[in-house]
Order: sequence, then structure tokens, then C-alpha cells
Amino acid sequence: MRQRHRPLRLFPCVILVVTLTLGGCATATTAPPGSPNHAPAPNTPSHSTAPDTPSRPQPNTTGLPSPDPASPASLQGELTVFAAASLTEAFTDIGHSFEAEHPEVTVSFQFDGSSTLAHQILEGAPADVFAAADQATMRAVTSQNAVDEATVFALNDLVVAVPADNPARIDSLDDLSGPSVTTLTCTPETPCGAIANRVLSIADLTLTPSSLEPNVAAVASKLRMGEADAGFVYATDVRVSGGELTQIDWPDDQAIRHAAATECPVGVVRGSQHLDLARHFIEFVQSPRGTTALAQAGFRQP
Amino acid sequence: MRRTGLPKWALVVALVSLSLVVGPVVALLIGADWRTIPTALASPVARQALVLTVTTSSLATLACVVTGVPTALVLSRCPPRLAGLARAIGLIPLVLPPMVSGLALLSWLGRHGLAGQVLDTLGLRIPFTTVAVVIAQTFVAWPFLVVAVEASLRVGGREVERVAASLGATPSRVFWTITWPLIRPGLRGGVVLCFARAVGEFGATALFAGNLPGRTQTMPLAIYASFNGTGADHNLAVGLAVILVGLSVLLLALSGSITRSRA
Repeated sequence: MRQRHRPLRLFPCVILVVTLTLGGCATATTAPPGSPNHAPAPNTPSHSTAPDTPSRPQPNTTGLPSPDPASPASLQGELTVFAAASLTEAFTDIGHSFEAEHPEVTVSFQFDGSSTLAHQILEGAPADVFAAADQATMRAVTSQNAVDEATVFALNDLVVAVPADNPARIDSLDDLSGPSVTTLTCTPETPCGAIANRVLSIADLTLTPSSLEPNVAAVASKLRMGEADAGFVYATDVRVSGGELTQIDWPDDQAIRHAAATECPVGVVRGSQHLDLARHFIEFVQSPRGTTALAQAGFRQP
Repeated sequence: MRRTGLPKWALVVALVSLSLVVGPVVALLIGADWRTIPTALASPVARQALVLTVTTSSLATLACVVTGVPTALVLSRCPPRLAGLARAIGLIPLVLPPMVSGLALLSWLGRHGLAGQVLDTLGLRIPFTTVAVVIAQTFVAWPFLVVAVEASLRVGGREVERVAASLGATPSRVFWTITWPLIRPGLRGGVVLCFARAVGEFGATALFAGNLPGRTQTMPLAIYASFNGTGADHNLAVGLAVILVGLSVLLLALSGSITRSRA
């Protein structure tokens, strides 16, 4: 056997090495995103491991800015909206209404932690609209000119939530520091994690969370499954849980309540192939239809 | 002298597909900012993730060997139909998406899970602990070991085993003196695959064990978490990824030397 294969060996191996090296170099040189406003980074964003990432639509030329914004009925194309996980219910609802009003428009969403989405946008992910859970995350993209200007369209509040049966009998923020209390929070890079840390430092409370989840939806899911005693989520997560989560009131401290409040900004992603559509969607979010959906999910108006 | 013919198209396709495999990995290594990687890797998060991953993956591999070898032995000696059924059940984690494995583990060992409820009354909680990481890794890696060992059990040695048994050796003695040495090469291959799968485990761990540096944040979770950060920690993600590539190459080299020693 060996004798037979030997003559074949050297030649393919040389070719292999050459091809592989070339293949590698080609990939490396073509990898950076083409748009100049993207931060230079060695990785492409498309392999992001976001667990619930829907497939992204291909850039579509039919949705190029229409010169006539007065006739929204003529809108068409596929709009990609990157939105904070806390906006899942409200934006899904708004997306359906928007599609109903514009039958030739398809809206697809990617919901995840705002910081993950911001990172993906900076790496050139093909988003048209970005809605974040706080101003700090939005600033991270606007400061890099990846989103032009952002407007605040809703307000939200971070809260401590417990499963409906409140297994650890949490009544106040201080109860979280109990020895065997399982508390979940988001990673400090995400708005929900950053806000939680701010609140905890104002309340002068040290806490060892059991897990730092990638986004607020993951915290809410694990709480709803009853896997943890308490967690930092938004008031909107409690609202849409349909009674599965209970909100614990903040201490009567203006500084804490102020730190827990967050503004949700939305903006058009620079380089979007669907500028007109994106602007219409943002207007729609702030229209009575949009604000009703947001209010239903528990958001406050700015 | 005629050589076994190799179709030219197969060679072309093989070269193209191999370059598709190697391309991204080479790109990762070329694109990495090598100057910042040492600093990124010196961070506590990276060190904790590395230590935790190697420890939990080793424990998971050990658990797979201890439970997988006897299982493979039973499977290889079962009547074919029964073995087929048992094998299909045993291979479930191999075909389950890891996220589903995580959900399944939560439904089984979570606080409100079937077995978890009982453990909870005893004061034992598994989710969000390092034990949960090992369990998740064992769950997903186990089939790799069983398949490898069972394959080598089926290859041969039955005659020698029968002779030994006919000379009065107990089944256990037959196993340790004849079967065990015979399956060792296959076992080593299985161990490499099993360990590699455990190191790479992400989905089940994220759902079942959570993500806490030093306790449950293994390398894949650390890579994902630092990738999440708004840019500052990106070097850490690439640095950890480079280490994982190195680890995989090492494992490949190991399994390569195993196959050579077998041939």
C-alpha cells in the first residue's frame, strides 16, 4: 500500500501548501469591510455567535432612497433593524404594523445586547436602523460616525425582578446580598449590566452575580424559568412577562431611581442602502402607532 | 506497476475544500494584532478562562472515559438490533444542537427540572456552577468517545478473548488483560475528540452554566463575551481564539501521531 501511494505524495502536498497559503492570504486581504467609516478590525462580524440571530437580508437595490418622501405608500424593500433585546416585543409589534401599512416592505430584526449590536455595526454589519437601550452604547457608534444622529424615542427603567413565587423572599435591593441568593445580571459592557453596576454602587452594595448574561433577554428567560432568585432586567421585561416576573421596588432614593432610568435612542446606520425606508421606520416608531406599542410594552415617553 | 488511480477532479475538489477550511484560520492568525495579544492574555479574565477550560474539559473527558468505555463494551457485545437502538439513543447529544442540549440539561437538572427539584430539596443546585460546566461538556462530548471505543472494540480480538475465557479467565480479567490493550489506540483517538469537543463547548454551557469569569466562563464564552464588548476587549477575543487554534493544532498533532502509531 505505502509503496503504491508514495509517488503521488510530494506533488499534491506542495500544491496543497501553496493553495492553502494563497487561500488564507486572499481571505485576509479581502476581509476588512469596504465602507471607510467602519472601525478597522480583523474579524468579519457575520460569524457572531448570537444565539438567536436571524439571517440577514442581502443588500437590496430596490429600496434606494426615493425622492418623494410624501408618498410613503410607494415604499418598498427590505429593512434590517438592529434593536436592543429589551425592545423585542415592542419592535416586533411595530414591525408588523409598519409592514401592514407598507405591503411591499419587509422588516427583519436582530435583537441582542446593545453592545453586541453596536460592535457588529462598527464591523460593518448590514443594518439600516439601530435602536439601543442606552445613550452610552449609541454614543459608541455615533462617535465613530457609524450612525448619523440618534433621537431618544422611549424611556425605560432597570428594576430588580424575581420569579412570581419569589423563592428567596426578596423584598428589597438589600436582600440581594444574602448569602445563598442567586442573582443574574448582564455583562458590564451591556447597558443593563452597566446600569445595574451604577445602581449598586450608589446603593453601596457589593454583589456576586451567579452569571453575567450576554443580554437582558437571557436574564429574563432564566428568571422566568425559575433558575435564579433575582435579576436585573427592565420594567418592560416584567411588563411583557405576563405575571411570571414580579418587580421589586427601588429604595426611596432619588439618586438610585435616576441611575436606573435609561433613554433609548434610535438612528439610521450610515451606509444604509435603505435610507428613506429607515427614516420612515424611525418616524413610525415615534408616531402614535409606535408609541402605543411601546407603551403597551411598558416604555415611557421621553 | 500500476498505481491506484486518483481521479483528477477529486484532487481539485479536495484542494479547494481544504483551502476553504484553512483560509479562515490562517486569516485569523494573520489578522491578529500579535503585539497586543500577550497583554490581553495576561488579563485575569483570560487566565481564568484558560485554567477553567483546561480543568473542566479534562474532568469531562475523564468522566466520558469512565462511563463511556463500559458503555461501548456493552454496545459492542449486544445483539445487533438492541445495540443499534442503544447507540441511537446514546448518540443523541451528537446530533442535538448544543443550545437544545443546554435546555434539556436545564429541564433535567435545573431548579425546576425533573431531577433538579429533588436535588434542590437536598440543598444541591447545579446551574451556574463549575459542576454544570463539566456536566454540559460531558453531555456533548460523551458520544465521541463511545463511538471511537466501540469502533475499535468491533475491529478484533474476539478470538483471543474467547480463548482466554475458555482457559478460565473471568470476564473482568479478559477485559483488563486483552480487550483494554487492544482498544487503547482507539481510546486515545476518542479522548482527543472528546477533549476537543469539551473545550469548544459553548451553547449548552451558556444556557445551563451561565457566564461568570472564574466559575463558569470557559474560553468560548470568554471569546463571545469579549467580542460583545464595544471594541475595547476585541484583542482578548482574538488572543483567546489564537490560543484555541494552538490547542486544536496540538490535539490534531496528537491524534495524528496516534493514527500513525496504529498504522
